[in-house]
Amino acid sequence: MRFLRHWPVVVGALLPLAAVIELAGNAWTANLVPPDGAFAEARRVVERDHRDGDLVVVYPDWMGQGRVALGPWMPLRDQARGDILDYPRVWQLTLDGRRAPELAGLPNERSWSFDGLALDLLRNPGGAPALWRAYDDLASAVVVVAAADGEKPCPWQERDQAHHCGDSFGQPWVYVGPFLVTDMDQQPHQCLWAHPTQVGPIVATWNDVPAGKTLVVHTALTYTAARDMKYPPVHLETLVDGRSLGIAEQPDGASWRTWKYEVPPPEARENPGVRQVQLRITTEFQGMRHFCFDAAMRGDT
Amino acid sequence: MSDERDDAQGASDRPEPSLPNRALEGEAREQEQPRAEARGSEGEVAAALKEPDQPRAEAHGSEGEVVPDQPQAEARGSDGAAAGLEMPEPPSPSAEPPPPAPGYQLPATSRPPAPRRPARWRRHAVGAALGIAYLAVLLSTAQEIGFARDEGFYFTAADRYQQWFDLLLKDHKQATSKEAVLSHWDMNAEHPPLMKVLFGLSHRLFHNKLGWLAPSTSYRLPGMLCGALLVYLVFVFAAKRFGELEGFLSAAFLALMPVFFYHAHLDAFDVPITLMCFLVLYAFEKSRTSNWWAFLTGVFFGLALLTKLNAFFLPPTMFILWVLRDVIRPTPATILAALALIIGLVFQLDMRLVGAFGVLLVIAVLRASDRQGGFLGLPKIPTAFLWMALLGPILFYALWPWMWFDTLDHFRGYVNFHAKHDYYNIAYFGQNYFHPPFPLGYPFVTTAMTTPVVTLLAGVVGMALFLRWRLRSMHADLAERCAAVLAASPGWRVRVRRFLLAPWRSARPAGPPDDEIAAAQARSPGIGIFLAVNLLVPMLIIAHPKVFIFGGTKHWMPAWPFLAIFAGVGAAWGLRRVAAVIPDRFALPRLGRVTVPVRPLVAGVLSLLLLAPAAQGTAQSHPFGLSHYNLLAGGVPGSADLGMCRQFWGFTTGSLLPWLNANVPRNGAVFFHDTAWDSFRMFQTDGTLRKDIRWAGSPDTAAVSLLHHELHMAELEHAIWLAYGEAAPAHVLTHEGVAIISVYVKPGVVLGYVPPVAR
Repeated sequence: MRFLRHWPVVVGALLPLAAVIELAGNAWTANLVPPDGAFAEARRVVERDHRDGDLVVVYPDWMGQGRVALGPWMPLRDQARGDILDYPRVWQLTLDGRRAPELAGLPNERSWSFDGLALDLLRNPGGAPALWRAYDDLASAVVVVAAADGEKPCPWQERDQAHHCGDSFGQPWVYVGPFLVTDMDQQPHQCLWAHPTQVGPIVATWNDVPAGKTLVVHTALTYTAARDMKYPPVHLETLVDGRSLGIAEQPDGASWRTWKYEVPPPEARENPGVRQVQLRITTEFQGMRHFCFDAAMRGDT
Repeated sequence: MSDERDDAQGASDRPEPSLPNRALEGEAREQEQPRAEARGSEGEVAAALKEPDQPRAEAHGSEGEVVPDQPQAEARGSDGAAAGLEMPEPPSPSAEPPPPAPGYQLPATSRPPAPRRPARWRRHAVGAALGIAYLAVLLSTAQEIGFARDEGFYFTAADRYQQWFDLLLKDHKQATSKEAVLSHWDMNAEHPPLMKVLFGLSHRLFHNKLGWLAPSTSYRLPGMLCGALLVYLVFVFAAKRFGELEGFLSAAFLALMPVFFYHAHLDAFDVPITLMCFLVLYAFEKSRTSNWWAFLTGVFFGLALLTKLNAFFLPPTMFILWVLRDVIRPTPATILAALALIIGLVFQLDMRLVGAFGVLLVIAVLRASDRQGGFLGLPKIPTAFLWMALLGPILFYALWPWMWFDTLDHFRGYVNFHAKHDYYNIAYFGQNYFHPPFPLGYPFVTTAMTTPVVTLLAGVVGMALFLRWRLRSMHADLAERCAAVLAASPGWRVRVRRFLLAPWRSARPAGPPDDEIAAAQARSPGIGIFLAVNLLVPMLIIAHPKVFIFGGTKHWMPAWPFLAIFAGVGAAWGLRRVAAVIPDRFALPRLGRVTVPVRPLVAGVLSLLLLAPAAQGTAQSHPFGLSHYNLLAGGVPGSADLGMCRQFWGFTTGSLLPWLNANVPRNGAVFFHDTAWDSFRMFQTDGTLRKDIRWAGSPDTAAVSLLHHELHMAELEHAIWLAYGEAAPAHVLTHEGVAIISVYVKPGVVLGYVPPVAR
């Protein structure tokens, strides 16, 4: 144990050693993200091989050069997606050795590497465009507020592409219309604004929805509404042909939520190719309930 | 500053009879051990220290003065002098360093030379050179850093205050009327005026009158001077108490903290209040032996109150210092009571229990007092406290015209602005904190992630050295008490004391002394406590879960000089140990009698090597200082992965100006997001932003919209997407590959500036 006597020298020597490591480490982290040339290379590949319906993901999202380089193939709709089920192929631009969490498990079709920048073309086996999406079909919905004293209609207004419910009872924020929510994880999602009201449930009904196997419902509260953790949850009941499939709950503190319902077979319906989808939004307290939802019918009949 | 007379006196006079120095007692007791042991145990090292029978006057000479006839003077002349690695200077005879344990022999190969404390003139000259060099670097890089939000407000307030001075010179009576005072000083009345007045004066002198500096740089100059002055003071403070090498490393470690380097450029209050706090504490430290410095402590405290709110935390900090250094004696009762109190506070036990622990601690402290003079047996209350209590409020009132009228209301408004401030958003490990409770570890973790790693490691070494010294001192004190109790006549109290002191019954003297630490403690008793308290208190205040966190790490900036000093001490200690195993000289027989001074060369290179990562980090971080994270966080990309605060204040717009100038269409409106209007205006005043570019209040009315990336700003970015119908930025300003600002262009806007055709 005589060497222990020399510990001061060892400690003293550790400092210069740490300095060398830090110098090298600083240089490494500063050059972790490759220069613009690598992004230009990736852009050329995507420009050449991109197909309509492909999703382009830049991960991590702080890699700004990637968003600039692949921006033309990153429309708002894709960037504010509800999930990746709509896309049969996904391009991922990332740093070597990384994979976006939402793309975990997707098999690689092809890969490129440019000076530490990885471009992967991934296959999404279950990916296919939805048969129907509430967000895209809002105009055909019938929206009412089911008040205790009778239904209050929510007339469609072309100007802002929304069903306005609250104007008649002094709550102009009560409407169903297109929205871009920033959820508790600060992530964007396109959805339909539907601020619930204590006047009664907001009921949105689509009568001619293409029949599918699964109905996927998304719910969210805005970040500023959900972060305070002091208001009761919002509930969204999903009904197909009048039958309840379940009730989604969106409490404070929760992020973007996804609910999958198996669609039951039709019962004595004239046209089995279409179904009626009804969504009922309720809450016990209407303050700061900046709620939104979306729904998609998926799979063959 | 005529502080040297005090130093010399301090060395010989300390401790004053009326000001018992507990920290010294341990040393004094240790000195009672036979000197023969000391010499026998640490042969050459002890010999290298002052021979005890040499005239004491030499050690009393103004500190660091070279006394030609003394052995150490020869040593100073050696090649080791360049790196401060020469043989040791004797400690003050009033308190020599503790002798080593019997039988301990420091290995000859690892015997370190002791630090040299430079002569007075040299200390100030070197410190001034460092400060001036730092100021030159700050001035040469100032234009590259954009204007923070708060800077914009202070530009405007500085101008308004100058208008009042104009009025004062023109019509004294009108200027001091209530209407004139309130109309001029109501702007930014939530912050004291001292620095804003200096910003305005500097602008008036260095831009308006002399034309030497750009408008913004002239406003910023006082802040830079504060940074440079702090570097100078840290050097002087550390060099005087520890040695030249320690002083140099401490000052350099501070100057090369990337976040400090950023803040040192600004016309803001954070570096100035750090300077003021350091100045007050420096004066307080010197006031232990000088009434003049006690008076200056009061003056500096008044100026600190006029700089920023942090000054209100100085009195409690200094009170803690006084208690720990001069009041508390490390008896078992005080240690147990203090431990119980700390545990109670940390684990947030019932407040009644915590209060009981506090009362027990006070009782233990009073009982442990030697009851010499003073109220309740406590040592004399420092004179500096009296001057602070007197001069602080007077200066605060007299030099802040806003306080001249409706004083109580205005003071209440000032305090309430901060006490009832809205909570800001702060990103920490991917979570956006916007109200209490804030994470307890925030100041410690973010300090660890933003300070250069070697600086941190050296700081930890420095703290460990002081802690080891303190534990040994307490150990010796308790062992002596134990021996006394064992010799006392039995009784129940004696039995209780014997039980409490049992662990020290068979205590053996601790290991070898740390020459530098012991010598520093001898020169400035309790200096370790002084550094530790001033490092920890500002951080602990922010660590409280209910205290506001806005502004990343800057709110505990007054702690940073003390971290730098710990780092300087630790690094110098380590370097000396390494240097001791390196041959002093290397002969070159082919060149006759020529020898190469290996040790000083290697030591010099190693010193620079220790500073190199900090310099590299600072250079890499510029001009994105607030985005800087060290290797522990994985650098800037690693911190972005971890979800740490990437920036605030909207200052990074300054780095985007070349793109804006080249791409915004003529007369185009820009939404500048987090950049304040006053800062935008200053860009145009400086001429760094085209004058035809207009300010837009929202993305809807802008041709180009900026988004400063912060976690809680995501909602705004998505609003821009919605307004423009697309999610892809046209340009992204990055720092080490991490997005700092995204630039969105309204659909239909054609980028590119076409200058007007000259007619």
